Amino acid sequence: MLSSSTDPLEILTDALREKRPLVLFAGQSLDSSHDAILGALLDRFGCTNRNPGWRAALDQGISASDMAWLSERFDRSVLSDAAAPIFDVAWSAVFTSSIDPRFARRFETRGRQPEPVLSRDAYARVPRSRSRPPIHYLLGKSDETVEDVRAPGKQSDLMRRISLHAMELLNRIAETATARGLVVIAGYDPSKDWMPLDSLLVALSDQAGPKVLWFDHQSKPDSIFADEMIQRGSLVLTTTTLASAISQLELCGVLDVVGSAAPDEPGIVSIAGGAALDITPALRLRVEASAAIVDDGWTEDPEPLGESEQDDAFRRFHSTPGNFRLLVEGVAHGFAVEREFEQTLWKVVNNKLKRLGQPDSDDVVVLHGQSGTGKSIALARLTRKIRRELRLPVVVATNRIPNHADIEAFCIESERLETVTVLICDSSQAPQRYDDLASALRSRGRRLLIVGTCYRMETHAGHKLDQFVEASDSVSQGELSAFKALQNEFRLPPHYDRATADSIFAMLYRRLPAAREHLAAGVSSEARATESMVRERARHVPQPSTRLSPLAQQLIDSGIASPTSQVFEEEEKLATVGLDAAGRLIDYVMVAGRLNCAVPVNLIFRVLGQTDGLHQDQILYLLADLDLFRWREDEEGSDFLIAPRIQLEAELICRRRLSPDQEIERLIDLISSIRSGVDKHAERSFLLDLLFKIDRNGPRKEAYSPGYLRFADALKELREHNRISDPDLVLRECVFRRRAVRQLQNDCGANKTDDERLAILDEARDTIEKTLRQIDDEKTPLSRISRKTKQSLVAERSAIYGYLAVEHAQPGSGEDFWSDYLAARAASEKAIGLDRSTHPIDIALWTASDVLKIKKGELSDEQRAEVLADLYATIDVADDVFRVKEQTTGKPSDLHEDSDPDEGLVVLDQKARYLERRSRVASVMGDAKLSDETLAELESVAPAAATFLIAKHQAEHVYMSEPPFDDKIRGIAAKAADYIYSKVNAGTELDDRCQRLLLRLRWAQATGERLMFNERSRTPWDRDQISDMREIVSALNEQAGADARNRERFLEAVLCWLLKDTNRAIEIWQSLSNDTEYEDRSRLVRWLVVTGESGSPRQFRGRVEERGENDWWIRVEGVDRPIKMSGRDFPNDNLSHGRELRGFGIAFNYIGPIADPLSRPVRR
Amino acid sequence: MMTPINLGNLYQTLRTRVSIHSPNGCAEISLPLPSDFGDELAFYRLVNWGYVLVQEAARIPLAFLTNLPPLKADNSFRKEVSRLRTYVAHNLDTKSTRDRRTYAFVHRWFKEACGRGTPNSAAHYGKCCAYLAGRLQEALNGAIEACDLLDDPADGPRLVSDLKRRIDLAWEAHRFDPMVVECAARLGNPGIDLLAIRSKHLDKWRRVLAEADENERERVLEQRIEADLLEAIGDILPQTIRENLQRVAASADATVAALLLLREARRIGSMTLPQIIESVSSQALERGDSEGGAEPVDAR
Repeated sequence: MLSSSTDPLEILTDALREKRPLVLFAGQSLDSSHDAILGALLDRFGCTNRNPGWRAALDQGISASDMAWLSERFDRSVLSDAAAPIFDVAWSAVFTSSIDPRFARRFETRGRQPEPVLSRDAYARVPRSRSRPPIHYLLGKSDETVEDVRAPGKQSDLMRRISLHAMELLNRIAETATARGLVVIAGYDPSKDWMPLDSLLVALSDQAGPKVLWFDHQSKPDSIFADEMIQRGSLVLTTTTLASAISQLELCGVLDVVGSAAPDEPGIVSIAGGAALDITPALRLRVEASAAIVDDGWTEDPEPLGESEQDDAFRRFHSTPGNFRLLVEGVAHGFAVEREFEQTLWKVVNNKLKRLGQPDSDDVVVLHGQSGTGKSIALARLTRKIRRELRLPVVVATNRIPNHADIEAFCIESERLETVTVLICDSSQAPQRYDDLASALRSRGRRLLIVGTCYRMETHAGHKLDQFVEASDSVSQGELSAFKALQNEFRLPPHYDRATADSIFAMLYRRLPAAREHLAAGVSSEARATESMVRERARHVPQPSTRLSPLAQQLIDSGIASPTSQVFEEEEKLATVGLDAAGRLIDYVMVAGRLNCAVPVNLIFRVLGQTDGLHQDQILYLLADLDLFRWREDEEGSDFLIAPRIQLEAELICRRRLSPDQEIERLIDLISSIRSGVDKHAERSFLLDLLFKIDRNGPRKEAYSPGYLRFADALKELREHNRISDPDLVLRECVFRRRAVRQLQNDCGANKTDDERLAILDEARDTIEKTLRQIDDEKTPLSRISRKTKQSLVAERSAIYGYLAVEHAQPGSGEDFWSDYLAARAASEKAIGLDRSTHPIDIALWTASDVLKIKKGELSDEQRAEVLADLYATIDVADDVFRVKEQTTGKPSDLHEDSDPDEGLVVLDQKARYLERRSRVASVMGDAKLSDETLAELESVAPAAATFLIAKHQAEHVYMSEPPFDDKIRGIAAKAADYIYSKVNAGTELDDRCQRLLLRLRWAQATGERLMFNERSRTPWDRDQISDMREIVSALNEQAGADARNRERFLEAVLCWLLKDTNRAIEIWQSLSNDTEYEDRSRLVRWLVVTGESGSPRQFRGRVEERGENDWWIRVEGVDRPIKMSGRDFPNDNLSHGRELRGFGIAFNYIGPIADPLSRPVRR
Repeated sequence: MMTPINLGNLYQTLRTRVSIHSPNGCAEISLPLPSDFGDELAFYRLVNWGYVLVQEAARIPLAFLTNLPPLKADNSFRKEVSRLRTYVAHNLDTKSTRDRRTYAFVHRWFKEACGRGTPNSAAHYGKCCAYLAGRLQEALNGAIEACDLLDDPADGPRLVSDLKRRIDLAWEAHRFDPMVVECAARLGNPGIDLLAIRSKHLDKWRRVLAEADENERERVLEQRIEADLLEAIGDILPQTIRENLQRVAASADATVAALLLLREARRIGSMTLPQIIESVSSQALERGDSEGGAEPVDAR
């Protein structure tokens, strides 16, 4: 924790050693080369009195032209040698009163990318970062002319600037440094600097947290705050200069300036075949914003350790969570037993790697298991093995899913050397999130295997077993013996001993079930001990001196009053049940910690401060040296979080200390205290992570269900009163409301009426509609994230409408359910158009089938026909998406029986889940089938739906047959299609269900295959048929407008291309390619290949063109535009510019036509 | 197309421009440039010439001037040349991380310069020469243009005085020798090669000199030299120091204690060696006998 030393060098040393946030406040005299510039400026004014320093210049009044002149001088200056090392230190953030435009650029050493912040409205992307330090120009920049960011030219300007911007920016100092950090003041002479001393210190005085170290102070500071701070020990003054201190620290070997900032020296990543990956500093900086690159340094043979060093390293290995490199090195030292599932994991990963890049391969492996079962260690061992045995490049991300763009940059570099990348993601996230990332990268053509972790999942027969590896919690005999050998090797005491075997806790807990109760009791008493330690300390917490009245101070000084106070005195009663601030402090860390969410430091201070008025320095005093907690920070040092020692302990502590309702209350406290300050990103990620985990798809399933409505209300409060508007949070809010309605429905004891439940749903609907309108009103192109969020919001809207429809269909509701059903149908249609995953399809299916089931005997024939037609049409879409053949239906659920409508967010195996839903829907449909006579009668009332159902019935054989279809089946397809075609008067042209069926049937008739059912399917060859189908699909797309489905846009492009309307085709492909980037994993699949009359792919010849490095095109005979080709597809053809190539085909994916070798490409 | 003659001329122009303000600012380069930029030998020669230019002959003025407009550059080209020179002049060891990094850098550089990570024909080396000469030309041209600022009425006097001060502080190697000898004597002349120590640490000492405050320059430099000498002596206590310390401690135990204290004091404190010895000596004498002297050992 914080150093109690008063020696400036020691304080600085501690902060550097412990990598605490280090914030620099640089005054105007930091760089001595500026003295000469100031001299020149004063000469220009004819001013001879140099004593007031920069203030003298301000007294003279600096005009715009003077400012331009001054900027020019700054530009023409060279940093003094003495100041240079100051700029090399790895500062987390910098605040300066300098107006030198080059000041920020001085930090651009060793690949760092400083980010200037010029006004109060601007926030740095990361509030504290050693590689991207924000540089806050408190007083603006001399070369700026815009009001909010320019430097002041006279006293009044300065006062205005300070009050409007500088104070707002300075107020971020304490929060940026956090209570753990250190603020260093250097080059600041209050008598000469433009920044008044009081303005600077006031921002730091209220927070005893960050210690302030003032270098090179010339005389006793004349400030009302300085004395207080010095007395409290939070301000330390020294006459040494910062440059000299840095030199001395370098001498003592404490500070390695060269090694401290972001490295510009790339580590080597050697790969198979003796090659090495070219990791430029820029690439490293980019990738390491999200993840760490495993270079050779990680996997070198470890240095042999002495006995005591080894014991020490062993302890650190087991007690320092979150440091993945330490795990990899510890594994090399043999500090952990290799568990049996690790062999399985290795095999699975190996198999996946062999098949990687093939169209039907999976590129995700998920290791799931309870906490404490050794998942992280297994991943560390896997990392080492992949690097050493397979020599593949590996990137590691812990606690978060990395940004796809950052990872992609690394993959591209790997692919240049013809190798694939492995991303190890130890972040305990839902498998769907790994799938999303894999899809995004795959859509860009990247070859990458993701190995992620998540909590234990129930395995079902339908799951792809080779995607999931379970870290079992049962211990085999072999593992036990290995563990005993490890115990002997490291001389661990046979019983649990806190001092030496902290982190073995989980291992023992998991492996010796008999000891569980004992261990749980142990950890619980440790929590109680910690709590009473906090309480005990609370009795002697120094009263923050800022709160003392002069009289109180005098009483203390004279010994009459005590300098400490008993802050929790009035809470003694609460303390007996652990509900005072000390108790709640532990609760907050533990309730989030049991979900593996570390709480941002500033948030936990805020939540306690707000509820109790507890001062931050007191909390800090209370937290010092408590072993129950762990600090976490990311690689850049941008996020500071507090977490329990291990998750299992948090779980046991919560179980023993809190009732479920109290736990929910604590969570709501945390949610309500989120604010958008400097840590808004950290707090937002924390909140989203927490919300995801307390949802019923999270690790604790329904445990928090009684709190769903309150969670939603807390989020509403944030949105409405604290101006935290974020579509992701709105989505969570609405999901919670919907879940709450469902919960109330199931909970017989709930005293909510139907109206109240409907009111909750209606509120969710209203919120979501408003948010979607806002998104649409922005009229800016949606980024990937907001596009994804929009998809989810639209899907959520359709779920809410679906719920409303089903609710109103319930007996006795008395509402007109049909209009609700139609609204739900429209919403579903939109959702499916945007996102063809299980979730929206599932919603469409359950809405229609539930309505059908509930209203079984009450629906009119017309309504029944409509619902049935909707169900068939949705199933058609879903069958295409999941490539389901008709024969597989009707297999009832040996899959999970208890599946419910809205689990789409965490789909493990989408196809299996869909099949289950489909079989249930099929039985409902079977019950409700309409007879042929009724259908015939219906034609006059609901002609389109009836036409659809009749044609569907006629074409049943087409659906039941295996392609390629013979002439008989083609004939059936043609007949059914003609039937639809003949019913133009029935309005089939405007009914998209009929049009899609017609397209499908025409396709079967023309090609003898199902539409886009497999990779490299046939295209039609007959020009008239192509033209017909193009008309159908163009009409469908035109009708859908912005909601047109990707698949149909693709078809239109292909059909246009086949009709030689290449301009239109390219136009469609361009927009399709943009819209599906990072979204659709099937984007690169070559769905169709140009086919001749015989049904075989047509072969082409053409001449190769090289447009850039590895950018190959081919000018094909008979095709007016050159076609893209990939060098990887033609490895044996030695491609070169001008070379003629024969016998290749032309295939199509969502990007456009591409030359195809007509066989699967050879890949690794 | 840049030729060796053009490059040599450019340097001469810079020398002349700088000498107007600081006569000894840029030294003459005795290494010959290659006669043309056509082959491997030419590349090796150019690298060596470039190294002498950026690290020796024009070390200070070039770094100073390239930092000014128009280039306003960092000193990446200096690092580039140094790495290339390490590559062409040293026996690199693939087991050393540092050397592997040099390899990685150089191969990346080659790829950028001639399209191949490892050039293997005269044509490739020709391209590398042209690329490197281009980089040097860019730096020299920038520096020459920046010389205009030295003559500028507004900035000239300030910049010239700054440049001169920097040149003054860039001690020639021999200027460190008396101090090294003095420090070594204080450590009992442990019999190590002082010239080798000086060559190894020269750059670091220069940096220390430049970074230190004006009034503390000598003390900080002395501290650095002592630290480096002690490091060279290593963990094994040389007889001479043991002998030296016998005058402050009564027995062998106390010597060990004193030495441990000495190391500890050096690690954390800001004292110079004489101050440390003085402090250790007074502590040891206060304790009086050998047992008292041995106490700190147990305390550790």
